Amino acid sequence: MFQNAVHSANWIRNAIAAAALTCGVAHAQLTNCKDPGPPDVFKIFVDEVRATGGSTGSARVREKVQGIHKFLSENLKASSGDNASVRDCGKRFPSDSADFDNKEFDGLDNLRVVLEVWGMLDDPVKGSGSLGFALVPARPIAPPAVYVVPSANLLNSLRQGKQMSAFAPLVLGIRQYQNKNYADAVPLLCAGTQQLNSVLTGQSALGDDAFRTRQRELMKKVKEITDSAIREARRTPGSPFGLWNPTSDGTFLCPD
Amino acid sequence: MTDSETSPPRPLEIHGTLQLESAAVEARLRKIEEKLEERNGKGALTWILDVLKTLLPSIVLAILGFALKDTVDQALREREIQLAAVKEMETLVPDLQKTDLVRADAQAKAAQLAAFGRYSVPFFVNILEVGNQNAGVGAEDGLRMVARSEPQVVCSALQIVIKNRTGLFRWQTHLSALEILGQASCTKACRDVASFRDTMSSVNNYQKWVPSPPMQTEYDKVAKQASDTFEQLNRVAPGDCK
Repeated sequence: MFQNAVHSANWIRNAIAAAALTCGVAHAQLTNCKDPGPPDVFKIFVDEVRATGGSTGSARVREKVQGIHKFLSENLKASSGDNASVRDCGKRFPSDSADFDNKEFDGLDNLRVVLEVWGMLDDPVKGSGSLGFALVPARPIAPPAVYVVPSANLLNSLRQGKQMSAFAPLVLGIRQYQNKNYADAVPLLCAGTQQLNSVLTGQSALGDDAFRTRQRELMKKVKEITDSAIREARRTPGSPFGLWNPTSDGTFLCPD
Repeated sequence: MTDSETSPPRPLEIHGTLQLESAAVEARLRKIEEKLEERNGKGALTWILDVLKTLLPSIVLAILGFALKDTVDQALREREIQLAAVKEMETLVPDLQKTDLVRADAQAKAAQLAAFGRYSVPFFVNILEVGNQNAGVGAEDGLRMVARSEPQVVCSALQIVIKNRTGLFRWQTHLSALEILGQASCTKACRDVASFRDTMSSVNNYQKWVPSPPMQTEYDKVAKQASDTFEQLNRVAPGDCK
């Protein structure tokens, strides 16, 4: 009798599981990061770089994809320094920007992930594709804080160390500001702002018009945060920011 | 010679009447009979009491045994079911923890585990504590699912989480517990939530409650959730929150 009870319970459980699986198919497809790293440090997740189109399986394409991934990781390590740990997330890859919903951002935030990056190689011959960025601490100030930057030549852009070195200090600076570590936040915010401004202006500006418009909106918010961080940091007696003079409108200019 | 030695013996004559008063005798006899009966009665009572004293523990035991039999049987049966459930869950829990699991799959696995009802609750709390990102989302969903049918079990387990101040649970587990306590309308936890909100007081103080020190933003997040949960519970049952 007991056996029968257990068997009937199993039936119900299997039915529930099947129903749950059916309901869950349409939802986010992001796997866990293979190596999420230690809990106490800030982290940057580097997802897979994928090639789209028919030639995804060739050795040459694989080599190119691996090259992009390697550059991504190295650039991020260089730009974040000791402030964050760059983690290789294996096969983790968003099927769409919408995968980064509130729940995903909350999960990343709880893991102290400040930035997640992924890449897509559309044309292996020309090297064109796009890079995706999820700026976790920027979500409350400039939602949805997910940016996909198209590039005519991904590898070249990465070799020049362009947008990579901009986003990493920017998100770390925002997080330090949110943690009320104003003196630590200011240099990172200034560095991020300057680097991002340089890739958004000029003839070799990154991305398309839509991307640049959204970036300017983000930069406006970051400017407000930077001013606020400088003001707060100046309150500490003996702070080096006390030597910075405000402009006529009460804002501050980061030194070059 | 004296007279006494010489004179012959005289017969002694006693003059009087012997009156037999039947009523008085009967009364005395009745008293004696009553005393005897009383003695006989007491003896029987004592004997019965002695017997009862000997038998009482056995009788009580028999009554208790009769009354408790069902309870014990039920407890044993429940224990058997629990063991069977744990055995089955043992295979599902590692699946939920797999790295390559997407969120939807983790939620489906959690739903499968939640079908075990109250027995799955400790597993879910543990996954909140040690699980990976998607497993954590699944564990939260699983706890919500169990709370829909057995809210008391989930409420009690999560009350233990928020009452702990000795570093047994991470701040992330506190956060999830507070959120589900509110969603599951755990009104009995209202005072514990209020105490949590009022005594965490600062990031420096809260750091002593958890194993890994939270940063300001993380403290703010937990503090906000504690306030939100209190508001939720206070709306449901204002009386329990006073």
